[in-house]
Amino acid sequence: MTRDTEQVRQPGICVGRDRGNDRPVLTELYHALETLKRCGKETIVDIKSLPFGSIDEQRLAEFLGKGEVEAVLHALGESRITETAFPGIWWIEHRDEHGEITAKSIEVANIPGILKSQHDDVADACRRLGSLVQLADPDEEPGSIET
Amino acid sequence: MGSAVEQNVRAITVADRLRAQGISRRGFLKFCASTASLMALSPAMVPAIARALENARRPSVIWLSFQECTGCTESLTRSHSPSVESLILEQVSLDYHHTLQAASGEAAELARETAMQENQGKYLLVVDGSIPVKDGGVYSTIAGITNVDMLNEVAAGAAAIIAVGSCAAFGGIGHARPNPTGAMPVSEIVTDKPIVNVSGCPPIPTVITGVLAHFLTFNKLPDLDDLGRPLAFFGQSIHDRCYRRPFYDKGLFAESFDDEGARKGWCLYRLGCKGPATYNACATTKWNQGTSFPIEAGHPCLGCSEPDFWDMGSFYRALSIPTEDTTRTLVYGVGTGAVLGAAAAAVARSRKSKAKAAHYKVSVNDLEEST
Repeated sequence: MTRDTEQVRQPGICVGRDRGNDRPVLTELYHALETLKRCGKETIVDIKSLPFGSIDEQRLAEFLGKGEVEAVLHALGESRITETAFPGIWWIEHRDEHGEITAKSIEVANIPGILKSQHDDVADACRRLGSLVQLADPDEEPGSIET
Repeated sequence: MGSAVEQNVRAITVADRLRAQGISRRGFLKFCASTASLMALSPAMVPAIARALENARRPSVIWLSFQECTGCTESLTRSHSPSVESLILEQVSLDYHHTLQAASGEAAELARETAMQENQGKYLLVVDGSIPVKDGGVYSTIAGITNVDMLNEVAAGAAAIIAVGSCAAFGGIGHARPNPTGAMPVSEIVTDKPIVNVSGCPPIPTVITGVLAHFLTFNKLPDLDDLGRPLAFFGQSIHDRCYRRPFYDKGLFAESFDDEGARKGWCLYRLGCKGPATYNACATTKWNQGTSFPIEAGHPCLGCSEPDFWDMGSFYRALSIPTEDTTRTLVYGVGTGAVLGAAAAAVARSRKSKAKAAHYKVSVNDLEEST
């Protein structure tokens, strides 16, 4: 990662230089990834709570890059879950219905928890599907239908 | 307090309400992740928050506005379009807020009395504004009741009190010299209830809702600092969390608002920044949908979340300038980093107290001279 010494200008915002505040996060991510590899322990870093300047987060995102997976969750607004170019490191952005970011984190995991189907939702889906199947053919038990 | 809140009979839990709104479990987890971020808690706390919200009941909230400018309410209501903050607010029953409620006059006061009776010992009291006590408290009344009488009456049945804004927390501008109305903060009047001070002029809206969310989630107030402020948001100084801090450590300062240092975004300490002596979450939570905060916009921190910040002298004089030349002090900052930063913060706090004691008036000329 090269140090960018050029000023970054954004309308209405004080100009800023690279302050290197993203570098400690990279070190933390390296250790978290090493821990995930070694013992499977997951780590979450809250990006919103870090004292980033205007360029630090952009530099961190550019450094991590994009990997093979990008998922969009539609619940209470849109959430984007993106695997970075470093498998096991996921960039997660939660937005509300108006597109405002409500949480932003980096999750070091094989798969982020929020992507997994949740037990309550699975149970609810099971009930709904079961009643639909019974509605279609009330003489048949859902489990006996050949697919 | 926790037991009192636990006995709250409002049967529907937060999780129930979200499910009734058609929000999936995944959506609920997202809500919990956003709430953790709102409360400045570690993302690792999300499962604990989810478990707590599964059983959290809907508390009654009575909001009293006393000697204030409505800036605190504006901060909260104008901050975000419907978002996690409003989702949090939807989970409480705001039974009285004379600025926001439709009812007025006797009907409004009846709503307050009814909420107090139905939730005796369980409701949350939010106060913004200072309380004038001089001359029997006649300088601010609501429905013919002095602020001090109303505060004492409502506080008596409250489970806990949130003093929102620097006026309610520390007296604010009403308490500034010469304090013509005898303005006092909540904590000097009510001494037998748990009080959390969410200071700031105005306070950061996400901090207000963060404290509400903490109460809603864990049925208790968050951990507090020595001034009664939630540690999660006031645990570190603006200076320590400032993205310009590396420039301070390198001894690179803007000397005026339009010099090379200002254009390059260097540290604003010498332009009067009170960041080293100010504890708040502006540098990380930021304002206006997380756009920026005063220092990022090129203006020094005023120190508005600290007690008596109006009486600390000019906003545009460096913390150490009023009594002596700081060049000698600051030059040691080059290369010494955080250790000196902490020391400078201690010196700044000490000198701030001296500046308060030697209060001087500020004119336009002062502002021009300092730039």
